[in-house]
Amino acid sequence: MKPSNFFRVFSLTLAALMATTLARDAAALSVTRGPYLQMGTSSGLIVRWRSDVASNSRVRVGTSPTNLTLTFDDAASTTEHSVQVSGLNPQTKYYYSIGSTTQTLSGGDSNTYFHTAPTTGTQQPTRIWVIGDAGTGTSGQAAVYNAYRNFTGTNPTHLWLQLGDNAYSSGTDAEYQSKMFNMYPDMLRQSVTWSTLGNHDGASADSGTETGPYYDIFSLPRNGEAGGVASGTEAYYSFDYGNIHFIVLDSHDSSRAVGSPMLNWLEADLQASTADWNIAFWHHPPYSKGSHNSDTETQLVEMRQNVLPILESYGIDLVLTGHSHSYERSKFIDGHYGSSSTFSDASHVVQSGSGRIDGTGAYTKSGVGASHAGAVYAVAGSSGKTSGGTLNHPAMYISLNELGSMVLDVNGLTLDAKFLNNNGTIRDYFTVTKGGTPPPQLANVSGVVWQDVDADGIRETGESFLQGIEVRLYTDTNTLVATQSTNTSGAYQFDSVAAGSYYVRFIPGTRTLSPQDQGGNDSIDSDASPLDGKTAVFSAVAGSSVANVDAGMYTAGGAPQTVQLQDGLNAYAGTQDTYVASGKATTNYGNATTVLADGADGTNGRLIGLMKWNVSSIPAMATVTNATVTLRVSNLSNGTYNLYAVNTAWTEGGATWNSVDPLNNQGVLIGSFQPSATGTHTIQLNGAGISLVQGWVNGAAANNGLMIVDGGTSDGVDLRSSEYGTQSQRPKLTVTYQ
Amino acid sequence: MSRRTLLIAALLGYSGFTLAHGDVHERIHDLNREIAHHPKNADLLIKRGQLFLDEGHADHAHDDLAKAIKLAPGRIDALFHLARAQLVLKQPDAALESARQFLRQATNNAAKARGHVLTGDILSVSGKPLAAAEAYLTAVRLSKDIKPDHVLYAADAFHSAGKTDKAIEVLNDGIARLGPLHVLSERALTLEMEQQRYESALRRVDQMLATHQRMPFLLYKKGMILKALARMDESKRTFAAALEEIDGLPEARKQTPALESLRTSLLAEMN
Repeated sequence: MKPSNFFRVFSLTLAALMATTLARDAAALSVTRGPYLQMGTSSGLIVRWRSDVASNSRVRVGTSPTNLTLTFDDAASTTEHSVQVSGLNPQTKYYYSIGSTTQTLSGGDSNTYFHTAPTTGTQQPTRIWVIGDAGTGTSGQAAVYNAYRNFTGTNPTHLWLQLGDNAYSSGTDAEYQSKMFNMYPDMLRQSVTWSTLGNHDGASADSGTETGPYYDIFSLPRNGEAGGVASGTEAYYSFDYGNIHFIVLDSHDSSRAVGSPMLNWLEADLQASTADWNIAFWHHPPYSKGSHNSDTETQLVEMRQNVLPILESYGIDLVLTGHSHSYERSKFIDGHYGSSSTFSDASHVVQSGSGRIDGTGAYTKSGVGASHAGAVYAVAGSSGKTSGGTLNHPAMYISLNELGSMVLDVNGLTLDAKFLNNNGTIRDYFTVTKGGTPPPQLANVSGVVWQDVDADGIRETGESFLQGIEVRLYTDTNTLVATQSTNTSGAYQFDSVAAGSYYVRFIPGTRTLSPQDQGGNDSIDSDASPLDGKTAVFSAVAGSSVANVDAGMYTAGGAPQTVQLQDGLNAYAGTQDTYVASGKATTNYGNATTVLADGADGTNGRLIGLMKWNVSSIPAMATVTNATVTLRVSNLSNGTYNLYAVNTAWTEGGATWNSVDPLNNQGVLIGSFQPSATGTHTIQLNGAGISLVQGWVNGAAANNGLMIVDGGTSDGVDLRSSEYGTQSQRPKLTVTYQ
Repeated sequence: MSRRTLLIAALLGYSGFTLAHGDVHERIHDLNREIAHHPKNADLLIKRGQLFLDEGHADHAHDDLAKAIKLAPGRIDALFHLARAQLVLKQPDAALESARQFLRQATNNAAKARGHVLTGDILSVSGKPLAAAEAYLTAVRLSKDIKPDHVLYAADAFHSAGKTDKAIEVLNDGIARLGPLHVLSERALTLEMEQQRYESALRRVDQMLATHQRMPFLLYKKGMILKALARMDESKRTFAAALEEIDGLPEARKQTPALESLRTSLLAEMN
């Protein structure tokens, strides 16, 4: 190269590099994945997240969301953040935030918290959520998740087990993003998740070298960091939680042979376990006649023949698997290692019956660690889809081709397990007890209260739940047992009440109770008498959960009304909208005829739209039952755009990036949309969004409106603002209320 | 035959590539229909070949994978699975050639490591434990996060080749990189006992005891080492300590077969 050419090329390259660097410096830092929690122990955990721009990492932790006193930093500049939090107290709720040393990106609010584990060996009530083969990205997967969230309510999920095939169909990073991270944001933020490798995860991951998205995404204990004997690999490992020891095996991509390293480690690990409970999980089921056949498929046969004898020899209590897209739960069995045709109740069932305390009684083991004393094997692979099968394995007590997940509650020497389907119905349950301890003679009573918009006494899609309704539990002799208020999901639950006969009384306040027992479906009808709010007397059998004790209510004399708030429509003039730009942090765009949202606008940096509507025309006493936002897209790049509450006051004429500080004032997610074409888009606000609008109406929440934020890509969208000439294209808030 | 060789059959289920939804038979049935319409689609052939392998039909797998390679020579995953199929079909020379072709075309260390593990498996079956051991060691060297399995495979292969010192060295290197894993330390302990390197074995078992895990089992091993060193009083005290550990366990746990067997052995040593 001639010198003149060399210098020209050098100069151009240098200029390009500088431009790139400057652009990066100017780009806003935001979270594109997480936060999510890994390797929880009694003294700490790992907090992970992904950012769009590399930075150092900071996690702030405290026992109050407004007082995060502990700081944990990692100086390395990265987009894949992983911060070890340590030195915490056992069994304590901590709030946290994530970000860099100069900026908080997420958290520091009441929704961002975790619970540390109890001290190893101690007995504490523990709730565990179990999903298998979940990662389909379908509405079925979402329904299973929502059913569990509604079921558990405000009860914390201490552990979350994923049985593999977490992201179909090949476990790529993009599939994990859409089918795990985008699907379970709150769960990931609040509960430590532990996973095993499924065959679909294994399509892009390799256990031999621990490479691929699965191994990149999960931080798993290879060195016994969370208890158990160190395995030296993330492919198979163990951990402790209170009085439970969990064993996680790799049935897909590690040798399953007798004498193999995994099985040698397994035996050593079981020898070291002193826990009250030993629970194992992996992907391929030892017993299944679902969409996979444990008689013919290599992995399934080998896990049964080679692994089960070791586990049972050391007194395994429960084995959880997936792979077949069904729920199959075994009898209480031991010693069956052959094909299904060789199973016999006489030889292999340790204790007959359902395992249900209100049926044939709990499965009972003589003591902790008792060898060959019986175990339950459950296939829970229908958390994302169902795939049928003959479902007739003779080892199974029950087999269901239904979407759902499992809920485990361990309390001392009692383990209660349930299969919760996608509609929130408990379709199976059983109990295992140890040491001759009599199972507690207790029951739960639960239900929901909903806004019965059409006052027909049947809960229909779109009818919202009512928070803060008083619910009283009485004995059949009219003794008040307990009082509760419904939570944000409209749910209440009386836990651990003594077995007996009860009724519930709902206190409707200014509302009217819906007609009782309409339609013949107890899961969606109203059980309270409109006269006195009382249900019929029901029996709560020990160990049972009496669910669906529900009530519908409506606002008497008030038919549902809908109001459309859009500048120029019916002389309304209460819209304020604008956008703010990180690259022009002191500029106000209140007079613009567009509202913009963009992850990285070339000129103005990150752009975030702001909108709010004056809702004073809606009576403050009204109950908001639905809300939508209608926006006119005039230009777009494909992508997801999210609507969040705004946690700070702003005005159309004064809002700037600096004054609003949007990334630190981003509230709860209230909706999202994915425009694929220009035109009008109506966005249905989620439950949090409807609650937010309710708060604007009754004054419980400051009306700071909403912000429109890109979904973590550099895509952008242009929306007509309230200043736009054509009235019908201006932003519109539609509210239905009673 | 080495223990490693005995493991090969199980390793044949090893698969780093995807399997689809549904019962394997149904998937094969579906793929049959698709392949009938697209007989030159290498991707479909590879998928069906993998399913055949998992179903134990290595001959059918071989046909599909060999055809796929001809159609798409760049699909090295087909080569990898072809080598697996050939191994099942007891064609070690052909399997070795396929594995080596895979290694020549593999572009990243993770794939190369996988190829070397498979090569080690083939060489083990071929009665070439020394070459197998070197293949496993190469896999260990290429892996960013080494798996204890591969360390054990290499050590077992060296041991089968009569190179017990080298086997212990490999295990010690593995322990240095991975930490004092029980699975590696146990194997090293066994080899040291076999070599009558009791002082070394004693140091090792003391290191393992420092983890405070599996105490009765490890105290028994320590007692046996002390006995071999003719330190009888210490040996007896160690056996007694092991019995005390067992006595401290919950009653039901004492009755596991492993602990009952251990207790019997300890009592025999005490008498």
